[in-house]
Amino acid sequence: MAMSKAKYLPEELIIDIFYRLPVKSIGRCRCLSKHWRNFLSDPQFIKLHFNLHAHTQEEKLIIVTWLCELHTITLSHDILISTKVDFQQLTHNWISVAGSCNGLVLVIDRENVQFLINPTTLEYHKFPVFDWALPPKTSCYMYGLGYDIVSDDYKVVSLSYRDTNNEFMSNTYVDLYSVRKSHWETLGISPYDHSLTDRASGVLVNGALHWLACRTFEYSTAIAAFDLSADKFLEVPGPIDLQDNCFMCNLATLKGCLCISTSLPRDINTVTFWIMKEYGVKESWTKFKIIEPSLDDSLSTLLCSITDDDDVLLDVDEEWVIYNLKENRRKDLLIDVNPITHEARTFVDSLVSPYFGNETEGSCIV
Amino acid sequence: MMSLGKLITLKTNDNEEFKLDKTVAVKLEIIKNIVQDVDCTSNVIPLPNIDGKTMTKVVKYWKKHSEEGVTEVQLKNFDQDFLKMSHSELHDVHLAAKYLDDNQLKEVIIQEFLDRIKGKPIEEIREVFGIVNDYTPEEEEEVRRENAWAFE
Repeated sequence: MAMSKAKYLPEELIIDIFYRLPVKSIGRCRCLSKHWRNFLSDPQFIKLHFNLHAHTQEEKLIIVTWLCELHTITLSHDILISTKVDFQQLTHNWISVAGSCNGLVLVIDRENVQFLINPTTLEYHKFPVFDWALPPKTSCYMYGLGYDIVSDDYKVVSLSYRDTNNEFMSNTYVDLYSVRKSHWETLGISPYDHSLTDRASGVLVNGALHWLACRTFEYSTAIAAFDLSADKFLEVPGPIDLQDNCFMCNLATLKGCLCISTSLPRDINTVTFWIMKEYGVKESWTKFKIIEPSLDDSLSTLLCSITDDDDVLLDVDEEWVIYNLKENRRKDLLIDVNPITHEARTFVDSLVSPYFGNETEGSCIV
Repeated sequence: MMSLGKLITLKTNDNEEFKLDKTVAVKLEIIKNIVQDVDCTSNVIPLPNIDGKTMTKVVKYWKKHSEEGVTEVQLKNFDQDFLKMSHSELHDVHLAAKYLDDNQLKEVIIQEFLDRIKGKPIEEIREVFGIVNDYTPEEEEEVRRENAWAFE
């Protein structure tokens, strides 16, 4: 009988099948046998699996609530389901979701300790203690998370400056963490003054983390881009018609492009967007507006875009509103938890490990 | 055969011959290449990696999928019926499709395997793939705990 001829399917075919399975099924298939557990946990498999699924994955939101919990929100079809991200070993007070990249999320706790987590597989990596140039309690810290394709490494950038109200120039210190090396490195002082723009997490586009900042020589606003391969700041040209004083502006991504959004005090009911359609090309900045009566004279900025449906999440006077760009229609966001505003990121399910197989503190789930 | 086009003969490793309409056969890269090299009306194309039983299935699939005026619904019903075979037979067809470089058929087979394991308990997936469980009960418990997120 034919049955005996090919009782065992060849590995090649099984591998072909595995590459097509969703993230959760892969987790279950790790229980098939030791061989398949090793194969399905291998960083090479995980990387390729992620690349194959990256563009079809449904995005979810991850937020910090007023109770300092982390919650993920599934956004499909107007029904919002929030789920607490429950690390049984961690009872930290989360204060910020500072970055998201390839299914990994950077979260910060009240003690300014950084964790890289995978909200799907519940793996986490606690960053080692670092001798900061500035004391975290009396300083401002901003972070950004990204992937450096050259060194195949996840990197976290920390920007810190003294929390003072004086108008004098304040140095911003740049520190860089390599996930692969589990190591912080001091990079010195930023060529920009980051203390005058709104505190924000770095926006990841094109292998660089972006912040609005001030040039130190003329105090005009610039888009400072930290290149994650070169480990240094470069400048990205801004839109020509953006008024120079853009302290009310916000950086985000929209459909994979860098985007500036703002609601100018004179433009009632309006949010203005500039989107850089071709990265690095000044002429490609394109301006558009959404006009929505209910916005009134609120200060509205773009938090993030939820790519599939042309939905964007707006922060309207610290309330969240989902706005559909195609249908020009506002949707109310009804969730059963109270989020801390500004602290929202989208992420996708992935198998990417937050510690590259380095067994460091907090790397195990059990 | 009721065809007006030229016929091509495919010969399997157990000497079974399949006469195919040329317009059907040359849709496949591999056969197209061979046809360009040799004069096929007189020559027979050998398929050293495929047996007659498997080739019968493949040819049945090709014929249906190149039928004129066949509707989407008819094809869907046909595929459903076509795929009713054992895991190993499915594997044989996959190998043949791979050899013949028929991506469509290859995808259909992989999708069928995906459907066969979808939502199934680990024990059943082992059966479909023919995987031997080499975990001790303790080890299996541990790996399940490590991946508990996937069982929620």
